[in-house]
Amino acid sequence: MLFNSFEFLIFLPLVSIAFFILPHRFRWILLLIASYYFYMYWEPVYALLLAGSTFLSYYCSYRMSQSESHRRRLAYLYLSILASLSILFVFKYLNFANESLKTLFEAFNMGYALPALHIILPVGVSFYLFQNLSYNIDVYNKKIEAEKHLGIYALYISFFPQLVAGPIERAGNIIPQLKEKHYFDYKRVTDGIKLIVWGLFKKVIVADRIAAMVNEVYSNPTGYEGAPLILATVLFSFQIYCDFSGYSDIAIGSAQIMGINLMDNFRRPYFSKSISEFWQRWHISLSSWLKDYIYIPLGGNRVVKWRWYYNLFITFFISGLWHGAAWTFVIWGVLHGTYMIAGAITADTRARLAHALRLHKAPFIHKLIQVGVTFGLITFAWIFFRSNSITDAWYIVTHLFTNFATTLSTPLLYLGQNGYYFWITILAIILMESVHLIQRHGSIRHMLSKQPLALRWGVYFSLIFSIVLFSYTEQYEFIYFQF
Amino acid sequence: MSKKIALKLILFLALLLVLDRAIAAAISNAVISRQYDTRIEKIMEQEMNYDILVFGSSRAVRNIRPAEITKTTGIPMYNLGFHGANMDYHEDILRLVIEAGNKPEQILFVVDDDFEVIEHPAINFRIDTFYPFLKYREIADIICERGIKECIPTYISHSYTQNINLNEAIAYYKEGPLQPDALNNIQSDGSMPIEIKSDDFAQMTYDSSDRIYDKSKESPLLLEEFAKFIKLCDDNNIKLTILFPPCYKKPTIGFKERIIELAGENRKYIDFADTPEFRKKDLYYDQNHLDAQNSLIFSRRLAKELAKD
Repeated sequence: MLFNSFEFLIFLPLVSIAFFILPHRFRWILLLIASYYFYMYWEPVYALLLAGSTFLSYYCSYRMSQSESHRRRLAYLYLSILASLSILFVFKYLNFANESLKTLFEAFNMGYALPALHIILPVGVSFYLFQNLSYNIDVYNKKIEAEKHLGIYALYISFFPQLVAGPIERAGNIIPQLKEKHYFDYKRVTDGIKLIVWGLFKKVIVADRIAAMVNEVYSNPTGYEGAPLILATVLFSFQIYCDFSGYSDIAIGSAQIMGINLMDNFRRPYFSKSISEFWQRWHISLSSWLKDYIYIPLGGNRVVKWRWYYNLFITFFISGLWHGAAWTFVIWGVLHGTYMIAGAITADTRARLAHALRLHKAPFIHKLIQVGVTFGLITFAWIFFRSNSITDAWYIVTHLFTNFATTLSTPLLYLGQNGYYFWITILAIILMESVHLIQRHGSIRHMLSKQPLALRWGVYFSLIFSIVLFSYTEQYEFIYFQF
Repeated sequence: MSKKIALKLILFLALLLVLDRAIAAAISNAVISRQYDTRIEKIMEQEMNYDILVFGSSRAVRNIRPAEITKTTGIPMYNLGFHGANMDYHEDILRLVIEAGNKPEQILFVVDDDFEVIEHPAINFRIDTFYPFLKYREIADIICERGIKECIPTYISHSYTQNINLNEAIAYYKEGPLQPDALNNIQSDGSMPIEIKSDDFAQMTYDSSDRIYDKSKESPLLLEEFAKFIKLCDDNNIKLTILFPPCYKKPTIGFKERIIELAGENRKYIDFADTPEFRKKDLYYDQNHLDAQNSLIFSRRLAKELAKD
């Protein structure tokens, strides 16, 4: 069930109304059934995998909590990690590993007999398995108590707003909220609805419209060169942001209606002044997960320099791999790791350069340069993320500036669409970024709530009708569903 | 929930509904005003009160001039041919005509040699012709059946139904109605004759190759739609006359026999596919369509055949 589908428009109000009608002690049952129904709407059989991995994770942590023996606790931790990573490997990486080995063997003119398996990637598997892992590790480290109620734990893993594309929530944040009694609060509910509408605007009006243009180029990159390639890549930066943050907004808004606060997942990432800052603002739930469970256990930056750079590299390598079973995603991750390392190495040099250029006297210009360079680096890396193959990515990289002046013609820059379509999309991007600029000074929903009724309703109606009228007729799945 | 909140909610929803209908009406009026071909609107407004209706693709709408036939026979006639339309489309159009209460006495169905029940890239379900008329529930249902839109939301939000027409509506407010041209100029009798010759007319030669009709290429969907079309005619006591129109090429061997096999022997068949009088290059726009002047001549000729009943 897609968040931007009519079915969800019926599903969410029904579940929310039933949630507030039911006595508190039955609400977890309602949400658990609703969450599994939501998940099974895609492929019912994979609910077994969800249930099985949930139970195993619950069992291991329960046994950990029952034992004082360090060795036994470690054994259960290893069991839970092995189980989660095995599932991930089989469903997500087996064919990738198989293909890569085949390529390697063929490069040495050696035969390779293992065929590819036809395995469908279960939606959300990367997300809910990471939640399982974080829970097991936190229980092992005694950061949280093991949850004794299987139903509540199962609900934490399967809670429908964040089940298939995050935010990747920590048990310590969600489980207490699931046990708490929540009352209907008009302001909270309407605020959640506004967030959902805004998320839909980003997904349906901006992301899906951009998708048609980006697909036109990236499905056949060799048919383009110069300015259209650059434009398609820049537009993809906005597409992936709007797609993913739009989903997160809908997830957060949906949970908020029922009184559950999910973590922020995006904080205006393209306003970042450095790659390091970008990763504190982009997919925050994943980057904090990688920091807490990979980077810091490796030693973080509290080690000698070469080891620090190694830790950064490994963390971002894993980040790339998490995003997809393809070398393009690995390259994307490694590129970001390289950016982080280069950023660390050149930090002093850049500061001295900025001082020499007297940029400290023009902070706005300095910030503009930093934001521009950071955006450029991020957008360049997206080439690999979006490309269908390394060959395609390499073609794009080597043809970004080919015949640039001649490819600046308007029909080409419309990327397969007509003028109306193109300019409505650009207008939507400008509107969205204007909202982001305003949000530097505080929550726009909070600011809006202080305005006269006519203005507030004017904004709401404009958003709703722009979603209804300008949404592209073709429905695109959320990008992060493939992870 | 307090009374105040409930009232606010009701007012919000009421305003939403009013705005939704108003925006949808503005789009619908604009997009219909933009069209020069409003035959589907005529069907929905029950203005298709004719004894004979012509169905088919471009060979129907270009070659058959109902006004000319009516002059001779006195029988009211109208052309509901749509270029590029397939059997599936003709069946939907006929069903709309019947449901609007305007079933004709007779249908003159112009078949395409040789792809009437074979998939062809130039022939498809002309769903684009329905979009401007989405204000009609029956048309919206057709769009929903085709998976273009979700059905239930079309009942709730008319703006959602009409959003597919937004670009055309904007174009109407900017540019005004679409202007007919030499190839697209709908007449009052529904026909669209062609006043010019095709770009490659000079190089055009009579195709005398022997093409054999290949039953294995037939589309199960188009066969089913053909059968449904026949059944619609029979169930509603509509006399079905099948016309093999003139073309500047030799007919496909076995095609006529196959159509007769599918439609049944007990029909009227009018065959102009390979008559000597229509084997002259100057009569045509291209290999499959007569030009305007000669579509008049053909229609007078056809009138004599129709008057034989």
